[in-house]
Parts: sequence; structure tokens; C-alpha cells
Amino acid sequence: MSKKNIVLKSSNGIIFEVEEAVALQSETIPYMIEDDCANDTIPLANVTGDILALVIEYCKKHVVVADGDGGGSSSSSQEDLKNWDAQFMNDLDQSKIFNLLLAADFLNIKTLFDLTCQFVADTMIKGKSVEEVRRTLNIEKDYTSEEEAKARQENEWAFK
Amino acid sequence: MLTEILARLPLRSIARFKSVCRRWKSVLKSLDFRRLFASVHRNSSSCWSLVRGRKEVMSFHGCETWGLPKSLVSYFGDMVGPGGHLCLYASCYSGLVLVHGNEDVSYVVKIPALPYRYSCIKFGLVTRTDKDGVVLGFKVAFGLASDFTALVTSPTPLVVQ
Repeated sequence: MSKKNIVLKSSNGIIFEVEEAVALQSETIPYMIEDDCANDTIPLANVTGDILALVIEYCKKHVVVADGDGGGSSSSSQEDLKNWDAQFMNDLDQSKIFNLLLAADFLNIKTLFDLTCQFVADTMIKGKSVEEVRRTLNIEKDYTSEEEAKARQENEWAFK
Repeated sequence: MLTEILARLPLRSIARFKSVCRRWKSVLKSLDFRRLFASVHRNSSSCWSLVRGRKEVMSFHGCETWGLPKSLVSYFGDMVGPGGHLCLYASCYSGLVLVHGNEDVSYVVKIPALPYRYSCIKFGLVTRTDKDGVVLGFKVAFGLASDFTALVTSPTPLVVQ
């Protein structure tokens, strides 16, 4: 079977040409191909070029090689992929991470969405105190002092 | 999106963040959130402690689901109130689960009163849970207080309907 390429266009007009297998990790793109079959270029109005480049970099790394050893990947390559993912996320700043999360959601790329959500949870929220979370996410405290004390008491073990 | 991120936190952080604001509390207590949490954490392992009296003999508490930096006993030890209503539950898929008979704590099961006058530990053996970790059926058993006691948390919070 010959390899087919798919052309993606970012919101700011940057064109990316990728192999079909790379693009089809997105569950949104197949619908766009069906809906817009007359046109060869798929416009992605919600994703800017720099974020789309990151998405494609991720998808290229994660494309499953269907031929060869029956699709099963060895545990060492799984480990390599995990390390690659960690490095990939660590190199991004906060605004890129946030936009990548939105892009993964819009393009419906499950593994990238999981990876980004987990990274945000682990690095931006997990170890923070209640006050720090309110400050970071700009959340107003709407509890009365009694209610807050009660919520805290109910979950006392989590504050130790 | 917020729900998706919060569901990937360990239970310890989730319990703490019920204090952030009303909206977070209602999100974190909802059935939808619990389902999402269970599906995200389905591959995670349990925490367990093997206890004799108040002393921990052996333990594992490094799992991601609960996110406990200390052993299980250090959290539950002081929750054994004056009545000593300690109940143990064995989940059919994840081992024993500790639930304390304090009504302020969520997810509590009340074990029927002891028919004997001897001091015994009450065990509830969970025989059936649904996919959200809600206990559908359990049997009660008794053991002597001097026996070893295993405290194991389930990957998902157990709730009794």
C-alpha cells in the first residue's frame, strides 16, 4: 500500500504535510477529510502553527509501525517513549502547555490529551496548598470560615 | 477540561482541594467525577499496610492513586476513636479496604452490632462492587483483636449506597 500524505493548515496559514498514519492519530481529522473531500488541505482554525508543529512532532514519535513485528512494541521502546514524552513536556512553557492541551482536545488525540492533563495535574496543581491553588487559578474563596473549617476537618488526613 | 485535570490527581490532593471553593467541592463529589477518576486510575495499584495492634509490620504506600507520602497507618491510626469502631472491607478486585465508623467521614459502612461480649475486630468482606467502586454487597466476619490486621486501600474510593 502506498503512503498517502495529508496536508494540514494552521490558523495562521502555515502548511504541514504529514503521512496519513501520523495525522490519523487525531480522531477529529478523519471526519474533516470526509466532510471536505473536495479540498486536499485540511484547515485547523483552532490551532496555531507553533502548536501544530508540536502536535505533529508528538504524533510522528507515536505513530505505530503496522508492518514488521506485528505491531507489538518491546518494553524497552515503551520505556524510551515514556522518557521522550517526559522530555517533550518539560521543554514547554506554561502557555504552550495550555495551548497544546486545547489542541489535543480539539483534535481528539487521546494519548496526547492524557499526557498533557497528567503533566498539568502533576506539575501545576498536585503538591500545592489550597491557598496556592486559589492564587494560581484565580479562584475566589466562597466558603464561610465555618464551612471551610468543616470541609477541612472532613478531609483532615489530606492536610498532614 | 478542569475535571479532566483534577481526575488525574491522587486522592490525597483531591480530598484537600474540596476546600478550594464550592464549585470544586461539588465537582469532586459528583458521580461523573468518580467515574472519570476510576477510568483514569484503573491501572494503578493499591496501598496496603500489615498491622499488629497499632504497629505497622509491613507496608506499601508508593502508589499514584492515593499519593500518600507516609504509611497508611499514620493517617488512620488516630481515627480509631474511643469506640474503636474499626471496620475492614475486602474489595473483590483490590483487596482489603479500611473504613472507619466515624459519621463525618465519607464512604462509611456501619457494621451490625457484635453479638458476642468478647473484644473482636469486625471485618466486612465486600463481595460485590459496581464499576464505580460502590459497594453492592458485603458479608460480616469477626476476628480476635490480637490477630494481624491488613489495611489496604482500594484504587477507587468505596461508597455504599
